Amino acid sequence: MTRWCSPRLLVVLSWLACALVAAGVLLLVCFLVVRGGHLLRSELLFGHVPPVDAVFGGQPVFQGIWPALVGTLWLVVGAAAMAIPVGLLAGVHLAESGRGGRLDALIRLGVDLLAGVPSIIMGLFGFGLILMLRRTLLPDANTSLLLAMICLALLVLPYVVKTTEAALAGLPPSLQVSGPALGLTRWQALLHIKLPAARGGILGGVILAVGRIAEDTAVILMTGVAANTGLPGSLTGKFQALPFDIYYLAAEYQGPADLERAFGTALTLLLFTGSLLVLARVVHRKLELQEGRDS
Amino acid sequence: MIAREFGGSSIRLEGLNVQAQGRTVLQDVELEFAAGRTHVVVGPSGSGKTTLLRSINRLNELYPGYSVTGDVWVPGHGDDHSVYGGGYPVEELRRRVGMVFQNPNVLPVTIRENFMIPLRATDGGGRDDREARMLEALAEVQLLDEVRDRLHESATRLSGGQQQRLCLARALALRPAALLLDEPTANLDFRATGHIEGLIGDLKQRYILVVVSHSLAQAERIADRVVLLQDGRVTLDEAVATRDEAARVMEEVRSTV
Repeated sequence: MTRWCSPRLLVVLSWLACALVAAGVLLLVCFLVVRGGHLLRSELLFGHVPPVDAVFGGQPVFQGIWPALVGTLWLVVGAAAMAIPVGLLAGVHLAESGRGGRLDALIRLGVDLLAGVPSIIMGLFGFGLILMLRRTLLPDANTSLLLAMICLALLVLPYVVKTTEAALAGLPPSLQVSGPALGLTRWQALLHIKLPAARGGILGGVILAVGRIAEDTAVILMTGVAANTGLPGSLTGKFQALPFDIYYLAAEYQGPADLERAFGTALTLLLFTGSLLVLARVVHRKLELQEGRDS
Repeated sequence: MIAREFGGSSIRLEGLNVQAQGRTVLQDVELEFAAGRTHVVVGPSGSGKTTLLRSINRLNELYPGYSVTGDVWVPGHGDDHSVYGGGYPVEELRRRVGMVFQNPNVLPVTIRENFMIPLRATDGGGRDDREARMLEALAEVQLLDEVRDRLHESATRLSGGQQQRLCLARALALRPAALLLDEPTANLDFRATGHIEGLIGDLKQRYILVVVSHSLAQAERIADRVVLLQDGRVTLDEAVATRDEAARVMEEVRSTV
């Protein structure tokens, strides 16, 4: 080793890199808080409509981002409900099949290709799908909330597959033989030993996927997002979503107040994904505690 | 199910050959391990010691490319069962023939769950019965007093020696007929090693005990019978009744290896 990469230098560089990351995050959050923090009031969400009426009374909100928040929530729930079960099972299959056969190699290739698809292409795919459906089976088909969910689910599917597979395959060898050595069937070993041990890694993939669903703009841009449509009425209707609202407000603002609202919306989106992260942590902790009490 | 009467409880390896990826790992192994004695298998690394143990409970099958000819007989409840003759469920075999590894493989859950997961999965009776089995097994490895008040704590917080005894107890809770110990003290300090060796002396009364050891000194201390493996063949197989005999046999082993 030359004097250039002495251990001390490496330590200093590592610290600098960490500081850089922390500074970046801090700068971003501070910027958003300074520009949009004062807007975090019910007015940002609901405009001039009383919150209770907007949430429970179904009174339409035009000046606030409440419809976009609900739209994003729908997208997250819908796309995650499609992508997570499929991704989990596929990841388990790939991890358990070992080297596997030709079919598994094909699946792996498919997952890799899917992971490399840019989100705008995924949006175009959804758009093209609707065009094709209109010409053939469903002349009335249109871009919609459901289509956006499907395309977003496809977009994040590889995250879930790959993190699940990696979390299971990365378990220590001693843990891999523990189940069989105790007389557990393969399925029991997976269910009672491997999956619980890999839970942290799998949860990481799910969080990544959910965050990606919430923030993606390109896919929904091509598959049915709109401005000022109000709360999503049905799965086949248009919808609003936070990332598109940010884009729309920032691109077409009429005055400084609109731009400010874009910052407020951005902060809301950040808080939304942040609280999902916290929620995941809490669930994880709860599960661990429960395990301690269980007998 | 192929079963036959042997009139005693022992594990018998008959004409056992094991190949891994086309390479011969074990050749024409004929051995009988009976209860009441500590059998210690020694030999240079790569001589097939671990493969020998794993061919008794079919653990080699977890790795690709293993093939076996010949057979192994293990005592069931009453009759002996053919391991490779087909018909004896592998899960049942692995409960009857418990195994402890070089690295204590406690599950990253609580001490209690380390017992409950396998007991629940393998029908270890009702809730009270499972609890009783756990306490009994912990007492058997002299761990109960140390962990009685921390059964709900993570097993990974135990010391290395305690973890290894936990693994031993976990295998015992499944009521095995035999125990296979694969270098059980290789990663322990001398005190924990002494503890495990003492336990081995106890357990041999009730279980068929086969220990693979990397240490000839340890073999000299605990063995009632020494089996030497070289290049997959049994080149020495001698019972030792006294410490003097043990010393003589180990001298012989040292001169051949």
